[in-house]
Amino acid sequence: MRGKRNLLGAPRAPLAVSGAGLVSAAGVGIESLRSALDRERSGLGPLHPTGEGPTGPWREEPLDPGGMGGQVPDAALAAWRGLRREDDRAVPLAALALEEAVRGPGEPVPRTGLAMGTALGASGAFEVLLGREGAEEIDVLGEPSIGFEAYLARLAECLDDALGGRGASPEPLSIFSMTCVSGLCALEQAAADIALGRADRMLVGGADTLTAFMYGGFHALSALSRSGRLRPFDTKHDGILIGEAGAFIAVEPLDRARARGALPAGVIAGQRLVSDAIHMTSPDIEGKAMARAIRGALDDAGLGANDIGCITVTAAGSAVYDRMQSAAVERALGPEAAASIPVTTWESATGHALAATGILGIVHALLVLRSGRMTPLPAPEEPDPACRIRPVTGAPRALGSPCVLALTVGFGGQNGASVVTSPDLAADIAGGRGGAP
Amino acid sequence: MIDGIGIAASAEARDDPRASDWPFLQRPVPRLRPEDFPGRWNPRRALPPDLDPLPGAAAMALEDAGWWRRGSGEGCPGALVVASDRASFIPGARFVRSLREGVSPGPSDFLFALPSSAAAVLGMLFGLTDYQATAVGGPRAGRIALGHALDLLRLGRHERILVAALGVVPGSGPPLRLAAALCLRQGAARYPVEVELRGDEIRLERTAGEGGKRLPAGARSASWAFQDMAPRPLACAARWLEGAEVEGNDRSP
Repeated sequence: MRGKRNLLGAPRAPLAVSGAGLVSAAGVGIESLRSALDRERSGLGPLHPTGEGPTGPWREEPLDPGGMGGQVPDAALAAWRGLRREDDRAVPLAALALEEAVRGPGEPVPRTGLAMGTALGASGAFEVLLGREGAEEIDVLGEPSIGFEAYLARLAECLDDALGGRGASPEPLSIFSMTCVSGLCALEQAAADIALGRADRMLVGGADTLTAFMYGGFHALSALSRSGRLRPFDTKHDGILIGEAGAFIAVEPLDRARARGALPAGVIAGQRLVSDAIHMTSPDIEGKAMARAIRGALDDAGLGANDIGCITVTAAGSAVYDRMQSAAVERALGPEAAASIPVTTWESATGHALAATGILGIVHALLVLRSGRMTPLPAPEEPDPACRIRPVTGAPRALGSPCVLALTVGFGGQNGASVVTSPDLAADIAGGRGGAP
Repeated sequence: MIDGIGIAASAEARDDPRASDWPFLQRPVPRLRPEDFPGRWNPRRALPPDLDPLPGAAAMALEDAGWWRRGSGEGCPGALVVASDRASFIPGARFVRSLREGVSPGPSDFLFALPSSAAAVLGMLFGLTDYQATAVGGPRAGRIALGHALDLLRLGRHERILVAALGVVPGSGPPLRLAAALCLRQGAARYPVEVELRGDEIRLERTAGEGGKRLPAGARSASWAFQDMAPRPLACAARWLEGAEVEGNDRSP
């Protein structure tokens, strides 16, 4: 099965995930997400003013009185040991996750690079600049603190520190901005960097902060929930809840990870990104592009619908995205599989985490594989009849097969599908077992 | 490997002395109108001015490659990788300022403050659905985008990719805006060259096989105007290839 050309092009070599890190409204560390999901505890709540100094930009009032979202506590970011006065909030948010992903057993890996995804980068710098007396909009073109270049360089410095402070910038370095699939674009580049021999291991992440810029943007799109309740697959939904997060994974070839004594938590066996290209914000409700992404990711992995133990979805409370993902699963896997494969999410704990979403979905898939169970979604008051997939509700469910299909959606019609398996299943496939067609 | 090239400068950039060293930049780019994209763009909405002149450069490259026909409404099979250095910053600043001043901004005000909206618009206009990515990172974004596209082709992940870059730098009046685009494909293409990135340098080498174009004798560097801008590596390739002469009818898709 492996090596077969699919609809979209050649498959990608599987990547072992040898480390993962997360900072979100659920807390600092990947265990905070597990704990929040197990206890059905949400990090979502009323928005609070952000603190003065590097965890700012400082503001006296909440972003939106009465607004809800997923903010990381300032104290958690301020406690980061590498924090500098001039750092934007986006730096500690990403750096804490990056450091966690680098940690782990095994021999050090000298050739480690960084690929990053973010929708707005250090967007607080806009607010700081425009808050200055006499600042003009045009000034942003010459302001070094604004821009992705400075953000990437600062994160490269953080990675170097986390690797022991060799004083040399990690290479290769890249940064992408593609709404909520930004991190998956970075992963595509990281996979190429490894496949083409430029790096032995890549740190891949996504991060965005909940600044006035970001929150105001979703407010302008009239996309936000006013009730503050996340209601996926529910006709009673009233919009999405967004949250800030930084999510990172360390990826490398499975055989190399095992040879150096690392303990991979899972393997990204396939991934595809396909775009609708029909609207600036809304998805194709028929899910055609997402279905192509799902089929492509499964082809990459050499697996079929019968191998999937669980589907994780981007379930932020948007009816059109719920329906699109449901239609795509049906279209790609068939109505029977769509009605039987359990569906879960992590977004009830974190909110929709913007550019961190794609990598956060992979981190969540690793937690599902490790625990062998799926946590329930908030039970719909009135299940949306247009959604024919099967969300887990009520109580956790055991995972039947060590293979998670993680779906990521981003506005502008961006669709990502990633297949994450246990290391043993990946080794079986590589050994020629193949998957069910 | 290269099937089409496109270069475009905003009206202000054509008058800027920094762009005077490349006559190609002085040519007015054929104006794109919503009618050029039937069924793909709302005919009552103008193309977004914050992206100017990126759609023009992309259209020029796609027409040069024979991948797209103006007014047909048909999509091009292929992927899209965009580079954006600072183009989203001014709409971003405008958006943040309106929030600060208590003015309620509209959805488009936010959308065009995102660097990814350039790719979203090009994807819609030309129907490039296979994959979309936007490289950012200031002037280095063009190198990241071109490298990304070359890697995807080399690994066989995609067969045809439009790489397009939009660059904005401050000018004496309005900012100088330039864009460049290349249509890249696996295997033999209309321009018989191989493209390679070594560090920050782009290298173009003639391929031994038959190509559809006769290439000019020597390479020239891109206009000085492109220094410190994301489109620079694409513009370097385009400047070398602009003198290529068509041999026969080789415009079939």
